[in-house]
Amino acid sequence: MFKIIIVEDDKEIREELKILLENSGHKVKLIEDFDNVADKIIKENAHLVLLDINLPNKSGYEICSKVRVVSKIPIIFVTSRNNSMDELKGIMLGGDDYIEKPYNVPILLARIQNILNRTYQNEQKESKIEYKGVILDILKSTIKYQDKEIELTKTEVKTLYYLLKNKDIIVPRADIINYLWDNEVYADDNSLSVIITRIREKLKELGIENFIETKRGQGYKL
Amino acid sequence: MKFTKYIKDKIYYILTFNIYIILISIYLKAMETEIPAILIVIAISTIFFCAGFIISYLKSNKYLKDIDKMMDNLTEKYLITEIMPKPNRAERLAYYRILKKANKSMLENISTIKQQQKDYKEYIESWVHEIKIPITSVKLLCENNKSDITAKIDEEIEEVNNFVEQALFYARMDQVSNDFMIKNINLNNVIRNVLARNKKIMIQNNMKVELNNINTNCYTDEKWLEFIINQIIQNAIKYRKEKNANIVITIYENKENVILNIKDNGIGIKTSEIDRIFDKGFTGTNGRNQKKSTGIGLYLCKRLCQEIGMEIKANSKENEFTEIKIIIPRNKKINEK
Repeated sequence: MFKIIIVEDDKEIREELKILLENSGHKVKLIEDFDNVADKIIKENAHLVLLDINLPNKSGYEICSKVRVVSKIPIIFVTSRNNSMDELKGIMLGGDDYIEKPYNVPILLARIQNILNRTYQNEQKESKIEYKGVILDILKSTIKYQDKEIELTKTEVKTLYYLLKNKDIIVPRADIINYLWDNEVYADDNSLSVIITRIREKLKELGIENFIETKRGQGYKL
Repeated sequence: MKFTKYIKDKIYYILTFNIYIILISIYLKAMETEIPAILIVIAISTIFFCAGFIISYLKSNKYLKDIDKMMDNLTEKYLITEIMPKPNRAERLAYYRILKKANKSMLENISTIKQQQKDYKEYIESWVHEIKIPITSVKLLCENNKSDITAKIDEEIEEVNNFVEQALFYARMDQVSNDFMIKNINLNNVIRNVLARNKKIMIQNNMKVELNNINTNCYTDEKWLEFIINQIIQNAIKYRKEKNANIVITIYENKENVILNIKDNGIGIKTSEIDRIFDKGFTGTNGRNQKKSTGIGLYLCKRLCQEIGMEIKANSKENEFTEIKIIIPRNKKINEK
């Protein structure tokens, strides 16, 4: 779990951002008093800072350069000013990324995750998932059952991965499509049916039937 | 200045001179001077008069030509009074002073208007900056309280955000050059950002996107390009057909250019209207049927493309497809213009 500091003067945004980041599994510290923000950031010993540029006392830029003197903590500038010069300034002063408000939430989360992964290098991705004797190997992009192994396409891996993560519950088609879009597969309803059919065919080749159940009008279930 | 025109201007000199010749001839005749002597006097007077006349013509002509030349070399022609030499002839000086006064008052006017325009632009910029804060709050509130209603609110607020963005880019358009940064960008990232921004509405309408060869780099301004692609994708969404709507994004490369091709299978554009879709305020049949069209989006795309040295082209068949091509030159120098 990573600890993220939010420096943001708009109370509403601050509180909601806290909920959002906590929901995605981070620990959040809010800064609500804007004196000596840099010292507070340094003392907090967190993993990442989301730093607004327009702040009551000192600007985010000043805070950033002050923090940089003693700490290498990743800093993401978050601002509603979208000006190339601002962005350049942010990066020059040692910011690690620059995100414009209003941010698209998945993009924001992805960029936070990116920087965390890059800095702390512990991508905790499971590379293998097993269910009812079927093993999905994400790195090799294969499924294995008993001694037989068969290759999957990237899209098939992503779809199967999402189903496996949500085993035992009915997964609505819309949720799968949404997950696929977040993972750079831009499928519609028909393409999802095609993907599922292909996965089923491959499972059949391995000798597994009825691995993925269709719940009419609801979705799929493993 | 033509010589004949000059003669016409100076017709009173010539008339006066003729009267003088007639009077002097009559006088000399009365003094019983001989005819040949009178003729000599007339000839000499005429020669001196003509010489003087021609010299004065040549000088005036040269003066005007010099000013003309200065004028041609000036980009801002109204500054001519600042650089033309101060004339020393009384008449020219008078005109020169009048011109200067007129110019001064005009320059004052221009600078007031420029200042007003600048203030207005700054106001728009700060307004956009301010309004993005509540927009951000609403978006986060929707994200943290997911329901059918917040999903709809989120969609609407995204629409608001798009209009706000248009206003900002419109205000900045004339000074794009102050606000773009050409760097090596990955088109894949830009396209995926745009798709992520439009994800919800596209999923809701069961749309599909096909990407071909988009992992390409090119030199341009990322923010502007993202804005342009976003406008085009939004049009593709807005003017889709009900069933099996899809968008195909393909990148072609050749020696000089990277070509970004965005093709939808939507309702298309009438052949009679295709040439005008980039015009300001043009909404066309489709736009009028949809109501939400402002006729600004594509106009902005075109202007921005011009500013950063890219090209944008459209091709369409009614009821079949619309295809937009963005041509990004490879040569960095062309891009930086």
